[in-house]
Amino acid sequence: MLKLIGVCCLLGGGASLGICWSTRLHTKVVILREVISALRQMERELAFSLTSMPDLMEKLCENTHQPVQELFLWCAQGLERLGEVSFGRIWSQGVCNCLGTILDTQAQKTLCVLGAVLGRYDRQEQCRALEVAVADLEGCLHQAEGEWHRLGRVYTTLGVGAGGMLVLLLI
Amino acid sequence: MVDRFQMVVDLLPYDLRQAAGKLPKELAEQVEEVRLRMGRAPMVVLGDKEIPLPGCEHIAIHRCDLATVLEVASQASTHTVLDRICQGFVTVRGGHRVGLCGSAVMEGGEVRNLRHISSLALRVARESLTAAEQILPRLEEEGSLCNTLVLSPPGWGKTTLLRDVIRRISDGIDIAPLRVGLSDERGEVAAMWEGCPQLNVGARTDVMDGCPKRLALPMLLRSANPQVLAADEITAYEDIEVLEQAVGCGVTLLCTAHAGGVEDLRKRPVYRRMLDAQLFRKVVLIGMRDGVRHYQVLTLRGMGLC
Repeated sequence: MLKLIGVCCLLGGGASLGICWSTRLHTKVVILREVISALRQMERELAFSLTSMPDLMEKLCENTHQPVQELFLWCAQGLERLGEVSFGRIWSQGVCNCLGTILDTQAQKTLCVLGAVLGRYDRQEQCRALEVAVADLEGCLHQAEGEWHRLGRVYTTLGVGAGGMLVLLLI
Repeated sequence: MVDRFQMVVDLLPYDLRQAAGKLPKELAEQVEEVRLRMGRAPMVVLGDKEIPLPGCEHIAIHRCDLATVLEVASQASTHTVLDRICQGFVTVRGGHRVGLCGSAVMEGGEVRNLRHISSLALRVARESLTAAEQILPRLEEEGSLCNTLVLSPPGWGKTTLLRDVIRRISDGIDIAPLRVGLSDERGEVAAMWEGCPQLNVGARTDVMDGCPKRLALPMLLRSANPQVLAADEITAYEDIEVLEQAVGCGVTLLCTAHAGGVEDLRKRPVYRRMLDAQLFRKVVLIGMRDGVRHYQVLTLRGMGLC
């Protein structure tokens, strides 16, 4: 009986590890989709309503979910520190702190470059920068989707397999 | 007034904010402007004097300091104030004005942007609830308010006086209350913030802000049915054309213009046309003697004064 419980634990543990890795890949895809959607909303707001940055951050907070929401909340609160820190810096810190563990370096870099343009130039230039950022992030998204499809099941299978191997070795 | 000064101080970069925050209360109350020029020490304007900001005599303003002030003033939203930047100023919450100087970017004969900002003038908006106390009764003839033009050189308190005249007319202080339509192109008279005036312009005042006078005045006439139309800083032929039309609609005009006196007006073609059209009956001249403002009310008869 004890052996059976041990076997189940090892198989379950291995499978969990595999699923965890696979979920990370899926989360990255979901977050990238949400960031792209938020940037598109940002572009619409700037193009049609000339929305100010505080209002924009507030609107995006309402229309996004964690952890993307956290980025906009960070920026909205950070605006109170303008004069001590620039908005570009607040945005970069937000990207690093809120999405740093989820997004890869390329996506983070794209967002940080965008932060240096947001709120500093006229509507057209900001919209252009947003278009470029969305295009770059879509590239990252395709890559992330590919990784998820390719490696998601592999990681799960590997996790279960590794647990099974350990069971065989211990038996 | 210290609170109003503090609102301007809050626009400054952190280091300057700390220094300005240490100004003695009695000095802070007198500050009319804070001036930042590239490579120079920050200055404060006290009446007709301009002195270095105490504690910052050896600090030189950098490009990033000027950029920071603009970023704070626009709440990191340059796109929302770009049209005003092109006119050389940004009005911030509280009605304070940030005047800009730099290299103009021209396109199609018009200023499209300012780059390489070289200096900023942060003017503290003042609210006086007594400025018009003495002059308002003198702006009436036979119980009716006359079309009035307030004249003074820049920074002598035209807007402050206009605001108090509007408030008194609108609230019916020393005069029968009238509905006022205010075209606040620069946002300095009422200092609207999210639909609420930050400065008191009275209970019967409707404000159209951020819109050129040539567009705002007809809109006010159509939408607010005003008995008095008020506008700050008449500067263009288009403004005068609209005022001519408004007078034809039977409203009373209250306006301001940059000039040392009526003779100054005659030297400038734009204002000469205004005088020729006999748009205004009363002229209020603001003078400064030993740092104290005094007001003179004149009556225009035909092309001359009396």
